[in-house]
Amino acid sequence: MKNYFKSIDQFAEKLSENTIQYRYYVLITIVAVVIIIGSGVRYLDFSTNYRDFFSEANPELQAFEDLQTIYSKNDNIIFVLEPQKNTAFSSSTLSAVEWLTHEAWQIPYAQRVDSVSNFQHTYSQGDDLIVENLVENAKQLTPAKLAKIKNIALTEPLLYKQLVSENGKALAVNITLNYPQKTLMEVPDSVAKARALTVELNNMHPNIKVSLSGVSMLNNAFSEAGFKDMSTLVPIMFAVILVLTLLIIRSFAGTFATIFVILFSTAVGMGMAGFFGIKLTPISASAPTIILTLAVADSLHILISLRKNLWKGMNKNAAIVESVRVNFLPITITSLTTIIGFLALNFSDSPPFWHLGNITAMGIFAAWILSLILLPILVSIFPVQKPKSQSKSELILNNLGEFVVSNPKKIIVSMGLACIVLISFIPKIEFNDQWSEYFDESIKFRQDTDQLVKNFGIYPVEFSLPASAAGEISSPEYLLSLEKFTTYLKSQDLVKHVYSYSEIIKRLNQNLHGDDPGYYKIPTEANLAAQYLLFYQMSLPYGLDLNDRINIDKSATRVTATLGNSSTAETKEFLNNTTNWIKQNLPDYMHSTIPTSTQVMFTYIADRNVSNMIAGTIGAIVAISLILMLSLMSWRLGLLSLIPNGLPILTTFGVWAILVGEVGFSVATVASISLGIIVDDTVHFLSKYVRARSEKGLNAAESVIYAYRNVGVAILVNTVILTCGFLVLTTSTFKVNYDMGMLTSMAIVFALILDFLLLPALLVIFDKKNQAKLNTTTGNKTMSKETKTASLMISILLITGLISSPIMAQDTSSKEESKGYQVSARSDRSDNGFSDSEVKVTMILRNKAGQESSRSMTFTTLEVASESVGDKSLVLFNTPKDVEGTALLSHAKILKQDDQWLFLPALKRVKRISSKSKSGPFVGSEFAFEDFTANELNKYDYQWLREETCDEVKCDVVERIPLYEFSGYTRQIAWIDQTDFQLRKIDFYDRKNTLLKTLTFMDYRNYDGVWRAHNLHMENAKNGKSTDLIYAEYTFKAGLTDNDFVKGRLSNLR
Amino acid sequence: MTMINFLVLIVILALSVVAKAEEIDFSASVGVEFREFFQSPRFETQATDINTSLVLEAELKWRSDDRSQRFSIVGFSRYDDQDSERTHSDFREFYWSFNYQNWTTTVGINKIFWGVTESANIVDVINQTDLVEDIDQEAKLGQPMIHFSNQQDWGKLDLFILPYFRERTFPGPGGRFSFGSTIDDAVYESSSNAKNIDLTLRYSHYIGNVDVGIYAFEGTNREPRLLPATDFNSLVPYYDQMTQIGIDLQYTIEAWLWKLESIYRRTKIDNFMAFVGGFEYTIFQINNAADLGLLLEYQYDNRNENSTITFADNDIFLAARYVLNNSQDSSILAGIVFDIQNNNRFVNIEGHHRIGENLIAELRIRTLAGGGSDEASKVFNNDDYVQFSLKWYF
Repeated sequence: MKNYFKSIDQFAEKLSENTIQYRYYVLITIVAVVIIIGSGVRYLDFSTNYRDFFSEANPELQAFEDLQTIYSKNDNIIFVLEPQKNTAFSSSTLSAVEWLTHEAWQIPYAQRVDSVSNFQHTYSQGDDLIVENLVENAKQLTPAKLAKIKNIALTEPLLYKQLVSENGKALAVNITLNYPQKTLMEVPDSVAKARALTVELNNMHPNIKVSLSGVSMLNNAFSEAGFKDMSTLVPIMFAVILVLTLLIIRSFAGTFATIFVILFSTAVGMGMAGFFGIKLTPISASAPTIILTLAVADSLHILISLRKNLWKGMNKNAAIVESVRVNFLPITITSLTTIIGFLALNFSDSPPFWHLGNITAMGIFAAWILSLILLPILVSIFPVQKPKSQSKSELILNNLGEFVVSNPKKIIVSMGLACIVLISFIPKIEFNDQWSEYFDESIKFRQDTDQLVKNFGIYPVEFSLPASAAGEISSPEYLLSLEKFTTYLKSQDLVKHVYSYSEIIKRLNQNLHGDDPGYYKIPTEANLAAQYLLFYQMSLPYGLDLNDRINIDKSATRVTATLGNSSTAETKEFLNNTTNWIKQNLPDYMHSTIPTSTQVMFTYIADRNVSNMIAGTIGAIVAISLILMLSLMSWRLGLLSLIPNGLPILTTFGVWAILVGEVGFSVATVASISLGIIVDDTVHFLSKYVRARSEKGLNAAESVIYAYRNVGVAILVNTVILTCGFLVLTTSTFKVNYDMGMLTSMAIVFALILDFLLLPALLVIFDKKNQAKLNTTTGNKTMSKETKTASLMISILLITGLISSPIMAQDTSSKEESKGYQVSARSDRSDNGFSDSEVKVTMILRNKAGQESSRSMTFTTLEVASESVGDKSLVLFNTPKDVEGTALLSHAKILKQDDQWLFLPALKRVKRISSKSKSGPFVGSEFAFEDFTANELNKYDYQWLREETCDEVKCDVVERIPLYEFSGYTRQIAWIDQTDFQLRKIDFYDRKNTLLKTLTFMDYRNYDGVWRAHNLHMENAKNGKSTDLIYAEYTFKAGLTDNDFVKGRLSNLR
Repeated sequence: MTMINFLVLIVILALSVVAKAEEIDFSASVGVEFREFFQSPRFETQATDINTSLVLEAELKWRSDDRSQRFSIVGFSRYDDQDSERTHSDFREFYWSFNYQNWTTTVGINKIFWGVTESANIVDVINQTDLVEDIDQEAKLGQPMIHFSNQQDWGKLDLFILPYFRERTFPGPGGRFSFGSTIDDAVYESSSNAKNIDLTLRYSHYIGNVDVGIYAFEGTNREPRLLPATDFNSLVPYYDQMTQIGIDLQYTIEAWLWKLESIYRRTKIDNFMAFVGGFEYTIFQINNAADLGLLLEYQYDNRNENSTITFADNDIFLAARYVLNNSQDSSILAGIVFDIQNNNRFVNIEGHHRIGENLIAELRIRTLAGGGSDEASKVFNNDDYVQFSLKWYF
């Protein structure tokens, strides 16, 4: 045993001596390798298809896919329109619905639109069956007509509670979408259009509240929330870890080296993911966060040892070698165990978990290598101070150690009891994967969906009821069974609405018997029913056919039950009851009917993942224990370590059961993340303990004290850093991240307590006792607990994506220069006489991945009447807060450089700046400063190109060639409308004469004859970034003068 | 805690409550700074460990609807774990300002900056340097003043009446950049001591591509002479009276900024002139976005050895500023100042980056090497440091 440790030590010593000796070569090699691997990041993309969250083998997914191939696809977007008035059945609200029903077809991939207005209302007129839209030309409807429509809508089973709310105050428009699933932009594109329609609708009907929900909105909300978290939480987490590391290590060199190790590790993990072509999902996107946090641990252990060695008076390089030597084994073991824990995720049912596990494993592998090689090199290069004092915390730990050693039994009994009590609450935990509640109330999707839930059901469950043979769906027996089933569903508390073919056939029967209510029942003859169906189908317009209800050879129909707000447990109960009911009450050939839908997939995803993960987790635990036994050369200790590793997770779930009670799919990640970290603490403690026993020949109690002294601080510090890091995650608006952060930090804290109290106590008691006894008791007990742990491993779904879209370009030429000039002059001069203006502007910068950041500023402009001189303008920045008060004053020139002064509030300094290049990005946006002041008439030569419609108005298309020699553009193509003479769009061509960016002017408003666009959208065709400028209301003619636009005033702006 | 510390903190707290009202613009920031020094300290009293410091800033701005009146409070407070002198608070601004036609009158504490060059701003004379903040002398203490300003087509005239003098701050014996001894209370040449009324008149304007400012100053010299105390255990800052005229000029042509600052100062012990001149040239749009500024300046000063020591007597300043022009406002500045005659060197590297919307990260590395024969120039030789700071704005 001594030899074994010795050979490892010798290897570690040799390794670090060599790396330090050849440090610059090694450093260059490492940097090169990391850059090469990290470059794989460019292949990473976000998935936008929620089916990516299920494995091919998932039975619920297969059932749902089958249903969707028979009928139609089931992705949808729901608009809910709620007027402030008492009833939704007014001509204005109905006309809004009618308008939306028509316009919704413009949503990309829309396949079907259902609303009150296009509901195919049937009635009889003599012998004829009339099928027509329920609402036609809503604006002209008389009150009597409106009342009639209301009456129909509130009694029609296909509408009531589905597209019309129970109280008649809200109406819904449902758009069914069929995504070809070829690109990642499909969902975001559709959502963008739906949102645009909402805005338009709001403008036309300001007193109708419009909410957006549905499966597509959900998918989109996931990706948006995920992105938001990635862009805000990860950097903050990084900052927190940084500050804490600094506070603890108290050395810049050490912190700096640590940062490199964790950044490089993350780069390797993500780069490898890129090379493997992994599509990121919100789940796998948390990999960098996890790598970041875990990689800190390795470095910290080495640095803390280093500090201690320096304090002892060793010289720097010797201290580094020694620190690597004593930490080599524990770091190797912890990395290995953590990697195994994450690789075990491959057993899960959801591919995103495979990705998360694999990416993190790769990152941790990199962290292992880097902290043993790169870290020592960096620390050896940079200056490190000899610490002045030993930290006080070590003394406290020493005392704690002595306390534990002298009271081991008391501790084991009290800790054991506490854990058992807490763990006994675990069965109280309920799984709940109610997707609308994944987001907190600050997220628009949640607000909108809550609004929807108030009035309608939101969770559809689909059934396909087969008939005995093709065409048999019209047989009375089939129809009666169908009706029976429909009635059953309607009687369930959870069910808000049932959409079934039996309702349609009953109505047709009534219609064809002169609208006699007595015939509102299933036709008694098969051929009658078949005829009605044929009649009806022939009269249905495009997009409203019955293909989504009846299959092609008429051997099955589809029944949709829409559930109201219901937890996963309730849904599960409903599904089970319904399946049983079908078996007991319906004919044999219908017994194959199973419920299916996205909701069903969600309901069972927790169970699927748990059942799959049990094997994985057991495997991981076995492998981890084996590694511990092997590396510590003691199978007793390996088994013993299972107690402090397993208990924290179980205790956490127990506490969670008491405090919260419900748990979603986030728990799966928690178990694996915490397992990895918890094991680390145990390993560090045990390895020091074993070293003390074998190298120093100490007894169990003395060895425990030794371990406390040598690794206690490192474990404590590690816990603080990791807990803070994961607590940052709890500030997320996304419940998944909140749960993950909260549970993981709890588990880490419990692990600390157990590692500091229970583990040493156990060592003191058991490490001297009979081996066989220990073996049977602890071994078996722990295994069964670990199985329970496994049963808590759960999973997730959902989606992502969103990037920017490409733009088109065009050009031609003609000779009509003067016309070009005239058109532009008319446009420029339509603006004359505004004298001065002030407006608050919000700038939204969007990068290629869709991440947003914003700035707000105030633009003040003074009109200078002469066309040969430009206007004077002032930009005052309000946010981000750190640049608040920064101001830019410009006196525009036409063909020369502008005069520009910049005011820097921190120094109160006014600086004249060069304005030679006005074409660079203005404060990081896609706008150049040139683009703000560019519309001065005499800055260009003009050529009229053609006439074209743009945005439903006629536009002149004019080419303008900048005359300013340092302009960033060779030419611009401008669209100027012929009614108001305003710019609608500009294409900018860069110096290579390729399309650089496109500026769209929207939301024009008129201020006493002066037009101003209030939404400017600049899209860069080259880098995929875009910037929006959103203008508030302008103030004109505030009486500003030249004196307000002088540099001397810059310090007096606020 | 001194009176001023207490006052600033109280006002900051009060501000955050008051600021709920409309029209009032309140903002604040909290920063944490870590400094680590490369070498062991020169003096025994100085701390060895990493230096942690906490900075709190708050400001309140109010402007009347017709914009004729403004009110401003800017409070600043720092806690330093090693240097009790560096733990200090100050009102950077606390004034009321009234604007009528071309006239602006400001009464209260304010900060005024003059200058054009980057390596040093020798013409900047109104505010006292807050030296404990940073050796680059850019941080200034708030100056009580009555300030009349008149803006005309032909330029701007400023008259400053400065009724109270602020002493320069110095690091305490426990902090770095100290002289190893305590600094005593100030002694003044003026019989009114700190209450001497200083006067300044300045004219500034721009004509085409040229920006110009000239001024005359009569009053207490902002730079103290540090004289040994009678028992030789401490240093006494001595503030002379001075008359100074200064000029700052900038010529802006295409990507070039040509700059000059010059002063002539007369005190009872010395008459001298000094200037800093050079250029800044910008290479725009590297990779379509980033700007690279190249700076070269020469510093000259012919004061005699009786005056306050200056390092900027015959030095060349070379620097590059790389501004990424991104949404995080990332930038890096790297520069060196070296003396032509002796081997004095000052290297400065600064990086700046915004994380998210409200968090600013900054990194600073500075090394100083005094190669002069005298002990004084070596006083900071052991004070090379790296500083990392995070500042949260809310």
